[in-house]
Amino acid sequence: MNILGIDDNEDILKLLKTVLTSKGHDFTQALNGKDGMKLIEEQNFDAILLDLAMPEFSGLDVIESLKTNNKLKEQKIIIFTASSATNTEIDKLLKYDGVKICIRKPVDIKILINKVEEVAKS
Amino acid sequence: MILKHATQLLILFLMISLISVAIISAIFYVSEINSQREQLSIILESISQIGSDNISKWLDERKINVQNLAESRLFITSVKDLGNPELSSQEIFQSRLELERFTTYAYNSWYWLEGLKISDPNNGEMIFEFRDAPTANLREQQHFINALNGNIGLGEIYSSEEPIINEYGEYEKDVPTLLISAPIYSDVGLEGVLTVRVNVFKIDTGVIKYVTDFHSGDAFIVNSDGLLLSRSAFPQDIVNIVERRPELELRVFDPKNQELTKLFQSADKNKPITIVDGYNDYRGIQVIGSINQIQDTDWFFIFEIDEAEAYQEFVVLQILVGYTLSILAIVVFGISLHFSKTFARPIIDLKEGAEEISSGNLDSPIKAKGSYEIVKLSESMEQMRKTIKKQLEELKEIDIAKTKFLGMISHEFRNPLFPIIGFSETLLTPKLIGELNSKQLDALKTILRNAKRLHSMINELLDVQKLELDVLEFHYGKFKVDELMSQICKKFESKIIETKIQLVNTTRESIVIRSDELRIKQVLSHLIDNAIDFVPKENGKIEICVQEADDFVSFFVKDNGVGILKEKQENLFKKFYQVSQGHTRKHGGVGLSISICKGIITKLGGKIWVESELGKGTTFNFNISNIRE
Repeated sequence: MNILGIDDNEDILKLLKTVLTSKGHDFTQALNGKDGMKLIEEQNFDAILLDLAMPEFSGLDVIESLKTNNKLKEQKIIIFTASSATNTEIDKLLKYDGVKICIRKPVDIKILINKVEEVAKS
Repeated sequence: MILKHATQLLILFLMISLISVAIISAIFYVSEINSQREQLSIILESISQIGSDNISKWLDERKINVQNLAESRLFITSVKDLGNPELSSQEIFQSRLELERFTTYAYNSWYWLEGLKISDPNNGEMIFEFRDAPTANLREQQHFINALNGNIGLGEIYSSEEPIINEYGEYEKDVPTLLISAPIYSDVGLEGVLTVRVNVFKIDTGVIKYVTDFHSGDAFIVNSDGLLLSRSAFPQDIVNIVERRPELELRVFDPKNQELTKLFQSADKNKPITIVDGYNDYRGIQVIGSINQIQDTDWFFIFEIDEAEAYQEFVVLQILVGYTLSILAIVVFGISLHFSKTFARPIIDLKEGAEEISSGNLDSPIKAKGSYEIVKLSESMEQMRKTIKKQLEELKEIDIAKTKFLGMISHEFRNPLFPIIGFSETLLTPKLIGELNSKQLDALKTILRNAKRLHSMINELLDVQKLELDVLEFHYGKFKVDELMSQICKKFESKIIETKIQLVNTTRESIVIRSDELRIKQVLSHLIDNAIDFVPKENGKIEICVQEADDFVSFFVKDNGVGILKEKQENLFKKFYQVSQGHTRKHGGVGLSISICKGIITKLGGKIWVESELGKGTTFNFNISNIRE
């Protein structure tokens, strides 16, 4: 599977890469929302791990942008956040077609792998 | 309460002062009245004494006048001549003329003389008659008989039937008339009886009416029947009385008035009776008066003054006392009011202000009006209130800021934790990114364990923050409690597998409840984690159970640890509570987990409590209300 990770934390991206590639998936990373957007437009991904709290262009901005471009429903976005956004706020985002699930950091890597593969296969 | 007494004392004192003044005034007033009454008594007595003496004297003078007349030479000679059969008619006529001339002279000199008659002593027949002479034969009358015996006789006063011409030249009827008789003696013997007719009304002027300086009331003569014998100062009233009650005639005392009549009849000769309490006179006006019998007669002299005039001074005194007491009462009232306003009311206001603050209401301003000290105190208290309020608000802000800070911090900590936990787990997972020797694996386990502990502490902090800000989320659903308990046990299996601690689930019942499954699991996890820390490493036993009890579902987590001192038990549920503090801390953690349990259970509508004794272990209990679905 082709997986995209957008997070402003390098170490987290490194971890994701290690874990996902060890399972045989392809992993592309972006350190900010803008780069992430570019990659989404260029490639097709089976799942996108999207951090919400990022400077300049946040995960919310990515979702909004995709919505505006009408590209949201084509995606399979996994919201991946450590923020104390409430479940109600997350639920709002989950209502969008392209937003599949939400995983809270930190998470057990086994659970992470399972969920990512689930979403990618759906 | 002290204040109440102060006010009461002051008012009591003022009332006592007022009453004392009133009593003193009353005593003074009464003694004044008494002395005044005495004085009036004396005045009335002396006046009526003077009056009756004057009348007595006047009557005596009249008697002397009549006597003189009867003893005058000319009179005797003329009378003798009239009765002399030897004289010619010419001579008799001459004598008659003389007599007439003489009598006219007397008549013109004496204002009281209405007329006279000379009667034959033997048969009472008229010998000579002048002006308004009594027409009847007087032979039977007492005064005539007295005269026959050689004395001056005073007849009874009667109302004249024949009108007389008064000093105004008017015919006047019903004039009280007095007859005085005197014998006329010649050298031969009793020639005749002279009877003079006296107008009693004529006693008024100079004798009665001007006895004193009093303006009101009346002075008059009455006979023993109460009949008015002198002219009333109020003739119209007399007319009215006569018209209204003709049976009274001219009585000034109603004979039916027993008291007055008795008094009247008991009036001693020569000793006046004075009545200084008011009584109604014949006009119906309240008067005070005095009765005195006129010497040698059965007539009485009455002197009356209107009560109002007599006690005039009193009215002034009464008014004076009345005003003084009124003013005093107003002053007392004023002082009480002032005291109340200046002291009592403001102190009560301040007390109420303080009570408001102590009951938690910091928003009402404290303002009391009154004396300078009160105002100053009020200002200080208001300042105090403002300061307390401001400080409280600042504290609240600090609290909110702290809470927000916590939230921000815990979020920032979670991000780095992910790589730590993640990579540790990755390295611990065989074949993922290569193999490690057992020592390296052991080291990694330590890293992971501590990272997880750090993670759970951060979660606790965040939960506490959410509870404080009341944004902790709950998701209600139906579930079976026995299943929940099994899941919990399973979760902790791996954790305690390396220790010698026993975790026992003694749940027997299967109950379906509606609540937040995850949160209850959270509570149980916290309690079990807590228990794990406190049970002995050897033979540590933790029992968990859920039972149904009435409307509740009751959970407990029981351990055989060291137990908790009674004094420390109530602090258990407070934030940051640690069993031991400082450098000697044996057990780690932030001390928030129990507080979080309490917050969650409370929000779920249940109760949580601890039962423990030192050395006998600890049981944490909580219940959730069970609404049957």
